Amino acid sequence: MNNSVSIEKMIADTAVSSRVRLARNIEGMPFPWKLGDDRKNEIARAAYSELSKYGKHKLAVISELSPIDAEALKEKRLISQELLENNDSGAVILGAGETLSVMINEEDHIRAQGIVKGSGLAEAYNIVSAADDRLAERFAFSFSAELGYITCCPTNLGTGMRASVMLFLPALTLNRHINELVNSAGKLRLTIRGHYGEGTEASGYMYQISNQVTLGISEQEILQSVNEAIAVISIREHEERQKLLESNYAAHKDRVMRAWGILTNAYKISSEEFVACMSDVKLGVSLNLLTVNDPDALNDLMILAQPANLTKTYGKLMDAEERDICRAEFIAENLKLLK
Amino acid sequence: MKCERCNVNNATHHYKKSVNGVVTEKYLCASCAAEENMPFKIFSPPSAFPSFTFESAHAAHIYAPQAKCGKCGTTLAEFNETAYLGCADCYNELRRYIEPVIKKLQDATQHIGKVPKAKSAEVSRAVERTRLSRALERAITEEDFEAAARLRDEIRKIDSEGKQ
Repeated sequence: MNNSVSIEKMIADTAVSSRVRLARNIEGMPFPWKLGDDRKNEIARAAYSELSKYGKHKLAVISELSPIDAEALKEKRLISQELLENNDSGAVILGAGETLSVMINEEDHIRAQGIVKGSGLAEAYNIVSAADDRLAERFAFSFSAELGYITCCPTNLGTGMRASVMLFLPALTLNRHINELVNSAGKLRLTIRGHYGEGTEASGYMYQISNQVTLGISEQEILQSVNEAIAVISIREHEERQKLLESNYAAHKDRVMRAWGILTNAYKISSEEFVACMSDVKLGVSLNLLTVNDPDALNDLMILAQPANLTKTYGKLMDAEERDICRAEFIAENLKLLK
Repeated sequence: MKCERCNVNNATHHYKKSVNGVVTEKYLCASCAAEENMPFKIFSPPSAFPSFTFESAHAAHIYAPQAKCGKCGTTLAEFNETAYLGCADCYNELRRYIEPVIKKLQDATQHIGKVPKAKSAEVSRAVERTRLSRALERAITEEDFEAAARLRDEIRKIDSEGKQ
């Protein structure tokens, strides 16, 4: 192991984004699935007007958005699939820089999220907790001394808090250590799941780690346990990356360069192939097999190349093949800028 | 099971008297029992389904098909299917079924995290009141009735602060 690499660097090479979500409900109102539209519709405007006192925010009412715009928000992970489904009264309030996203009438009346790039759970928590304090001035939250914040599903009681970090773990994946990781995490009452698709073996080498327990534990304890886990995981990932290089340098270098070749030259490329190639490019960057002048931009491109965001960028509706052609063009242009 | 008198605290004291074939039974919490000035015995109510798990929640709704929240009408069957409760009152109304589920999912059943500012006085009172009522139960068991009377007065004070 290379002792001159600091833990902060190892974590920075693994953590892609951090988020903290707080679930809240309003006293005296049944949870969203049991509530009539007339009462549900009040919540978004009241929350928006309260948050607006503290700076510029944007309110998007899902039923008033075009399907593309709604899907684009979901691709950017500012709203969930659940907010889009079965929902005439779903809304989202976005803070400046999209570091705050407050969903209204998802599973709970209010689901506020603080989102930060890289490893930044403490910062994400501060952002969302500040918004929570402000919303608490406007609404009486359903709360009991014993069960804490009352939520629609008992899995969210107490702090109502889910702290998650998205991790890029190519070496642990390729060296087949993910199951072991999932088991260890389970013992610490943390869950790890693949970001793309179901199951634990993820395409894109992307995983999300989050706390399982929300009641009987404090917010700081949750942050601490997730932060400790990502430090340990990052060290392991770093070790495995060194092993990859030592075991078969030529094979990995070739794979990375071919992926770069496809992304900068293909005429059309599907989402799936794009994700696979981009993941290998990111692996290459992390192993110093390939250099780009802005590694973080690679993560931004992964979002922008998704179907709805791509459609918005090109400003016209396209069928699947047209999108695949535009995706190839978009990526090729942007990657060339990074060289 | 709630105290018959105050309907707030859980009943932990049982009194039974039989006079000429007429049986009088009372289930009271520690503070109300102290006020009644009669000989009560401590008891623990049996838990409905001791080996309840999230998976066997299905079984519970077979045993209790009528179980539903009096406020919003959500049934235990609905909860089993969706894992969603209907309103905050469901947690009380369906307590005996939900409590084991919470214990299984969360490990603990007492919140120790953030408290909304509007509730902080109330929560401090609730925490203090729990501490005092546990002390009161101990004092009664140990027959330290002076201490019990003092604790009972402190509890009354907190309760009256709560009503303001």
